[in-house]
Amino acid sequence: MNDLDDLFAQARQSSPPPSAELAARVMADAEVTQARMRQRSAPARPGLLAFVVQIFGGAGALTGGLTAGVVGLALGYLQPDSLPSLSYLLLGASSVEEMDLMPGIDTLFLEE
Amino acid sequence: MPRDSLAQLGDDALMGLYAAGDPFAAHLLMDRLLPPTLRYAARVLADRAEAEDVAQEAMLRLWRIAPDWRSGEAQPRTWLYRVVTNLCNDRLRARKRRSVVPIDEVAEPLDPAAGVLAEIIEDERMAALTLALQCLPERQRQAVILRHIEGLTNPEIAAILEIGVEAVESLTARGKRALQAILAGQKVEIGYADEE
Repeated sequence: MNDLDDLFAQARQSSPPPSAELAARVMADAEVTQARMRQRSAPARPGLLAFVVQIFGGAGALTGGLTAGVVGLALGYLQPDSLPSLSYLLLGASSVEEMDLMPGIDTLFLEE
Repeated sequence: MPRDSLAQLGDDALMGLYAAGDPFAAHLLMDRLLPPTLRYAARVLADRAEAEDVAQEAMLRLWRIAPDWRSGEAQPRTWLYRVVTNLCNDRLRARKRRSVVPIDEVAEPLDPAAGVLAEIIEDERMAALTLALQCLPERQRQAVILRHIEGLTNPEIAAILEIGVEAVESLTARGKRALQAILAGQKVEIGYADEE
């Protein structure tokens, strides 16, 4: 056999294994890194918005409440023509008077 | 997954299990990958303590990249050799800046009471090889170690050193010739003269 190839073959077999201290250090790194990965993949704490939504009974309840509020405001502002007749049908004649909830401001610009 | 079943898996699959939090995957990966990582670093640097630091750093980078590891693209072992090559290059450059000559440490005389004559001769042969390897330029040394001691193929070495396969062939051929020339003058010292 060629001397150099002989030396290479010896070198392949003669390397001492890693020391116990090095193996312990490497394993400690592996465990710390794995623990950090686990922390990163854990679900995050709920934020402020999620907390508020929970107080109102969840996203569904909050959406329903908000929709009802918006529809009420719209009805009050627009005063559809059919609304008095509906109230007449439901509540009886002249029991509900029309109210101007959103009066115009044109009168403020009129000179006396 | 039971440890016996894990032992059947390749390094690639173990990387995925490690990232998923399997407690045994890291042990198996370390058992398989730390010895060649340390051996390569020790041959390139010719300094055991420095090689241990490099091996630990390379393994740490392997743990960190585990969640992003793309199965089937590169083998963890080949990836580690590339990381070790880069870390060793940094250290060798730092040595040059400090003008530290590590060969003095390599050429320490052996303790004559260490063992029988055959062991002394073998130790001297290994010391001569280590010394001769340190005389080679960095790239030649790395290519020769990866090809002839670690037993990698030329395409694998090309990927590790980030050069072409032809360049690897040239580096290993020139490196081997240079080693033969260096060791030719030491045949008597390393015990080959008696065998001729």
